[in-house]
Order: sequence, then C-alpha cells, then structure tokens
Amino acid sequence: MSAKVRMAIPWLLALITLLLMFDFWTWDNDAFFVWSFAPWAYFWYFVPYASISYLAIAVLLKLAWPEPPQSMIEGRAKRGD
Amino acid sequence: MGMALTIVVVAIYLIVTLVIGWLATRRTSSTVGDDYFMASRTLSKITLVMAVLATQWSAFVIMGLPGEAYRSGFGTLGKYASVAFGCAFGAYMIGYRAWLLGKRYGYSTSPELLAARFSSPAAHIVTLVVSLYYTVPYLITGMMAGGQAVVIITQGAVPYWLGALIMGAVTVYYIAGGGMRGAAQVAVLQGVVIFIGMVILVIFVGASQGTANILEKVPPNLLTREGKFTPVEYIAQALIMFGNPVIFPQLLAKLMSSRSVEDLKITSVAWPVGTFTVFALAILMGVWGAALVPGLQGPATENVLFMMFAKYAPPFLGALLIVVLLAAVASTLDGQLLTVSQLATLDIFKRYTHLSEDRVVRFGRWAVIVVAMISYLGALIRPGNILVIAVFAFAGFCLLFWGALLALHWKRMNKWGFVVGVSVGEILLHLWQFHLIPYFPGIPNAFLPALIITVLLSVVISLTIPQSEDEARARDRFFSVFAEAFGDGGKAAEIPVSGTVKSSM
Repeated sequence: MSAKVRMAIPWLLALITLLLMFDFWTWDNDAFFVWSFAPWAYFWYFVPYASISYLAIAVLLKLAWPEPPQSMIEGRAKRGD
Repeated sequence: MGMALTIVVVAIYLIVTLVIGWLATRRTSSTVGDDYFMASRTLSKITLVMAVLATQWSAFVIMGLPGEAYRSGFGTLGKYASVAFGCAFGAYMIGYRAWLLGKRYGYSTSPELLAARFSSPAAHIVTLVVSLYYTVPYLITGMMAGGQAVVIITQGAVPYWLGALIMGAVTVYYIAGGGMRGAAQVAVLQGVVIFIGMVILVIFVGASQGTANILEKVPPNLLTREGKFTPVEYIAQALIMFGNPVIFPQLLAKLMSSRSVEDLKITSVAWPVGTFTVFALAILMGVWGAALVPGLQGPATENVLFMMFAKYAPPFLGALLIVVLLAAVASTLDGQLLTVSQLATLDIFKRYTHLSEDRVVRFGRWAVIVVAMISYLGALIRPGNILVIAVFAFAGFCLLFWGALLALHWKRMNKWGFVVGVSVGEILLHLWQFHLIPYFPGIPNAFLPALIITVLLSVVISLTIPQSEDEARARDRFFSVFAEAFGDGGKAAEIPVSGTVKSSM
C-alpha cells in the first residue's frame, strides 16, 4: 500500500466517525425506548456508533499502522539538535 | 458504623497505594532522568493500558460528567462520544510518531519535540506555556475533588483543607519517589478500582431501584437533546474530545514510555473502548441521580453520585464509591504532578541553566513537591467548578493538538505557522470564552472559530514563508524517521531544502 493511501486512511475514518456523531437528523427519535434504561439518545444511537468506531480502529491498525523495522527501535542516535 | 467502615476501606486503599509507591521508588534510579520521568521507556501492556486509562478517568468522570448528565440528560453522551475513535486517532497520528522520535532521539516532552521539529526556541516556549497553562488549573481540580471527597467520607469531620492536603501528600509520596514507574504501577490498582467500582455501582442502583422505576421519575426534558444542546455546541465538543487528549502532557509522556509498538497498539484499542464505556456509565448514573436525588442546583450537581449513594446504598457501597473517586482523582493528579515537574526540570531548568544529568532526578523530585504545594494553594481558592475548568483545558489543548498534528504530518509546516497559529488561536479562545469580544458572526461558540483560525493561519503562513535551512534540516531529521517506519525507503530525507516541494506524507 502506498504512503499516500496509508496516510488517507486515518483521515477518512476520522471524517466518517465525526460525521456520524452529528446525528441531528435523529434528535426527533430521542424519546424512543425499547428497554427501560435505554433511550435513543443514549443507547440506540451511541452503542452502534461506538461499535462502528471500534471497527474503524481495527481498520486503522490493520491497514495504516505497519511494524517499524527492528533496527530503528533498537539503539538511540545522539540527539544533535 | 457507615463512616467507620468507609474510613477503614479508604485507609486500606491508601496503605496499598503507599506500598506500591514504595516498591516503585526502590526500583527507580536517583541519577538517570529518563528512568525517573519515563520509566526507561519500558511500560508494557497492562501497565501502559492502565496508566493511560487511569489518567484519562479523572475527577471529571466521577463528578463533572455525572453533574452535566444530571443537568442535561442522556444526550450528554453524544457530546463526548467522539472519544470512541478519537483516542485511537490521536494515539496513531501523534502518539506513535512521538514514540518513534523519542526512541530515536530521546525526546520525552511535547515542547522538546516541537522545538526540535522546527529548530525553534519560539515553538518550544509556545508549547511549554500552553502545556503548563492548561495543566496547572486541571491539576488544581484534582486537589479540589480530593478535598471534597474527604469531607464527604468523614461527613464534614475532616475539613476541606485537610482533605486536599491528605490527597496531595499521598500522591506526592509515590510520585516524588517512584516517578513514572510509581505512577504507572499505582495506576494498575487505580484503573481496576475505577472500572470495577463503576460497574458494580451501576448494577447495584439499577437492580435495587429498578431501571423502569427510575426512568419514570427522570424529568422528560432529560430524555431528549432538543432544547438542551445546540448543533454548534455538539460539533465543538466532538472536535474538542476528538484525539486531543493525546496532547495532554501527562498522557503523551505515558505513550512515549511504551516498551514496544505492540504495547502502543493495544493501548490504542483499550484507551477509546475503556474511556467511552466509563463515560457512558458516569452519564447513566448522573441521569439516574436526577430521578433519585432531585433538586440539586449548580456546582452541587457534581456531588450527585455521593448523595445518591448516601441515600440509597449500604455503607460498603458508599465506601466503594469514595475509593473510586480517590483512585480517579489520584490517577490524574499523579500524572499531572509528574508532567509539570518534568516540564519544569527538562524544559526550563535543564534547557536554560544546563542542569547536569545526575541532578535531574533530585531536581525533579523537589519540583513535584513545589508544584503540589502551589496546586494545593490553588485548591484552597477553588477557582471554579470541575467541569468548567476541565472542558476549558480540553479546548485549549485541542488547538495545540492541531498544531502538533500539522507539524508531524505536513512537511511544509514551518515555525511561524505553528507559533502564530497556536498563539493567536489561544488568545482568541480566551477573548471569546470570557466574552471580552463578541462571538464570530454566525458561530455562537468560543472554540470552533479559534480552531478554524489556528488551522488557517498555520497553513497560510507556512505556505507563504519559506523554511530556513535549519528548519528544513530539522524537518528532514523527523520525516526520515517516519519514512523509515512507514516503509517509504527514506524518501523524506531526500526532499530539497527550499520548502517549496510537494509533500509526500
């Protein structure tokens, strides 16, 4: 995978998860209940939202976060700054 | 009986904390700064995850969030839900790159890192000032919450000033002695106590009072977001919480202390999952509190959990809640004390007075004590309520987060873009937040326009002013590390100095 595609993945996932947060179009459903502790504004929207976010994390880890070469982790160069 | 039990449970918790701190102190070097402040970068899975989570779960979670949920209802979760991906985004975009640079060049603080990125003392000063300015008030909220907790434990028999002093003294003991290792090892205990405690408390209230019964008593306006929040407020809060906790110096230092990439990846998953879950539990209990303990107003709403448990729970559960609060308070307080000490020692005294390496730890330990004393005095003044101080600190750090994000991902970003963008953004944030100037037309919010202006100024200035040779060399030093880590064959190191090249990262 090219560096540009790898760089675009976290931004794309960030955009999707942020846009999903702005569920203004569902605010009319807020008083909707199924279980007695779980209104829409708390449970029915945000549990699926969190699940999608966790899926996005899995994608981020799988596609955008490579293992660095072992050589660069071992040993520390002089700072020289 | 109830009070005696609470005091015994709290005493056991504090003694265990002191023993863990003592053990960590014995293993910590008295002459090597990197060992004291960064645990020699050896924090592994469980310790790292718990250290990050416990630092994130502050008094804000036990008092601030339930208080807001009490006033604003279930929709409060939506304002903070962006942490569910945002923490992982921050850990990847900034935490991982900072960790790589720390491994390669030995950096341990964000001012040090950003100063080296731009080869600029001005970038160092801006980052240092912003970090200290927002961490110290947040630190004071920890002392305040500790004082309030002890007053509640003893039902007023121990005064607030003594409560805050006890909390500060216990925390100072294991931080001054054990440094990062002390904070991380105690965090394992704190994290377990906070998470299991919150789950037990929710189950108990739900089962004993009946969730359907509680919900019938919740005022209807707390079930809906309409009228409680505005879309602008929602968007602003989502962006504030998205990723920016990583730039909190106490959290970034912990990520940079990771032993390996694997440990960092595991933390990047556990951090958002744990944070979102605990936020959700705190908000649920805050709304339940509105049904079970109605009538609280203003800052008193932050005590809703204590009042609810004092009224309905058996003594041992009240004691558990107090221990959860103490753990939450201390876990953030210790990280902040250490980080302010680290900034004072490494970024002020070592950088500007050439403090020798063998005196760094001794100086750092004294700095912990001095910072704790200053924070204690601040806590006696009680500058505001916990939620307001915490959320303002989040907003201020968020502007720095975007500056750092551009610095670590965009080669064209230069020192003027960073310094002017972040400084102007922070100044405007204050002017709008404290109503010293009218809101930006069409945006009735202090943070959103400040963020837009920070990013715009950073980009426009960086595109307008070319980088100096020093800056370009410093930039290439950073981006060659990223290129190596991301398998780009070191292309970044070949970029010409002019600053007009196209970015490949």
